[in-house]
Amino acid sequence: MLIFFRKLFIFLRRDFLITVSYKVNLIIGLFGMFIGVLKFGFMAKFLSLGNTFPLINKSGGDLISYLITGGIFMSYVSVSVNSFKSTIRSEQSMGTLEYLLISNTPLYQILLFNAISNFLWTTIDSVSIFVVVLAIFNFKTNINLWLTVFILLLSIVCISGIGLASAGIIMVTKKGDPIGWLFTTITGLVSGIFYPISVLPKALRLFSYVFPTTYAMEALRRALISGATFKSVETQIIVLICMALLTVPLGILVFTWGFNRARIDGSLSQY
Amino acid sequence: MFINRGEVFSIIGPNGAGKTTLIKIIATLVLPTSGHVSVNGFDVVRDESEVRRIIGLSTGYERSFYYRLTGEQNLFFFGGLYGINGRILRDRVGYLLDRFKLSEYKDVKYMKYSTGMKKKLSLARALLHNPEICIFDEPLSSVDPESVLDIISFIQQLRNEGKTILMASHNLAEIEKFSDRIAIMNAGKIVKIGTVLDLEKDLGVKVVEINNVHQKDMQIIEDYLRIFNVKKFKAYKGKLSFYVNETNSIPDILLFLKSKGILPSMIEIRNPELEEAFISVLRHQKC
Repeated sequence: MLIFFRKLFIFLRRDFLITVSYKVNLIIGLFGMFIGVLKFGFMAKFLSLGNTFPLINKSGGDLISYLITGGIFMSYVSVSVNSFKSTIRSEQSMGTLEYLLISNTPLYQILLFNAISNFLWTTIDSVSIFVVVLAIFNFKTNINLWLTVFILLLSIVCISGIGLASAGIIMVTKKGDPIGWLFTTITGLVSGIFYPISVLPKALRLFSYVFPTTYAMEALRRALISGATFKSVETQIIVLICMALLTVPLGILVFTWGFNRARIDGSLSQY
Repeated sequence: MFINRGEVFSIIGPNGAGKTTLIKIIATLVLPTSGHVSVNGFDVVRDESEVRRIIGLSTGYERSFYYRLTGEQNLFFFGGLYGINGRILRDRVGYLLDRFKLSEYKDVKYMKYSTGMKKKLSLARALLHNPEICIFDEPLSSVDPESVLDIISFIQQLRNEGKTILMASHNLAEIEKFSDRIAIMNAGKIVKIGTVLDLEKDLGVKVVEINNVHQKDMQIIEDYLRIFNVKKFKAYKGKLSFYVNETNSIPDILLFLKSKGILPSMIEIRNPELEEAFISVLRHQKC
């Protein structure tokens, strides 16, 4: 266990050193994120003037908090789906993937450590966004922190199964992964990220129930904005657990297949 | 194919022969489609973790480090993954940087390293955990002569320490100096294994070199030699070299040349050198 955490620290340190070595990029990124949040907030403020939004009453009824939570959640979805894939690709392009494996670090650890690092950066971003928006736009929150963290972790695990499958495909195709692309694109459309699913046509609404992100988004919003309890979102939690039991083994299966295929044809380091 | 403990074993072969693939199979990075490889009794597929613990790998690629980290930071990172830490890691990294004359550049980002420095850093990484078996793919390619000497001296030091060294290289002139045994590989197969001397002798051919041949006689000699089924010629600055399959035919050839009025001033008959042996084996394979 000690070795596991030591290795995790080594990866985090490496990522920190690399990130801060791109100073201009770091500053531009932070500034861009801040401006992006401001634009989002002002747009929501403008739309809210004199208007009410009964369709989002269950999520607090406030458009700013509705959109901001959607944006934050979407960045976690993106990291969950793309982190494994981008880790593989980045280590391949640096030529370090084979050396990481040779150093007796199991591939699952390499993926996990990189994912943790990505999630840490995303969390820093998200918390900053939240704080900025709270300070500037003064939106209403009633956060159940433990429930928020629990739902976020459960969602990450569930969506990471799809991310693993996506990484398995990229091991073989090297470029172009239909699973990740389809999931991320359709999620934005049907999962109630920026508008409630009740505005969707019936066919699309039915489709949204297949996506774990629909349940995750709803539960997360309620935990962040309405101070929901475990009991009040238990349906969403049960559905997410069931979906995780399906996506994670499936993801591991597809990933193992892709990894072994790359090892057989000797293309592990090719991209 | 067996590699003995403590020996320097080199694999040579043309591009695409499968040297790197073989090395990657031994290093557990590529899964074999047939056959069986074990390292110190550990199967490379079943016991990959044990194999990885006892081997150190350095490939010929320039891309294998984090460009934005310094040489020292890179070594600390990989050393940490090998489970080395604290003072032991600092000492080991310091020693290897020193040994490869990189101490001066330890705080320089990897992206600013020269090709030779990158190669040395890759060798240093392979040795971080002091492995029993060192696997080097093209350790001498694309490096300046001084770095070649450094690397050779270090490989010799490793050999003196009793480490087993497996290398793939194109630099035949250098590897024949310090390899205990050499395997010639072609089209995915080992076609010959032996000491340098064995390979040179086992070919069953001799090299005949005729010096001071007039340019006008060069073609005539070649034409005559074809009668004896001699095919492989090399003509350079008045010197004609060719291989003969049976030593017994040499007197016949010389007598024949004499009878045609061509009397070379100096004839040398010798075993082929490694490079010639290598070329001969490959040509034989093609036939």
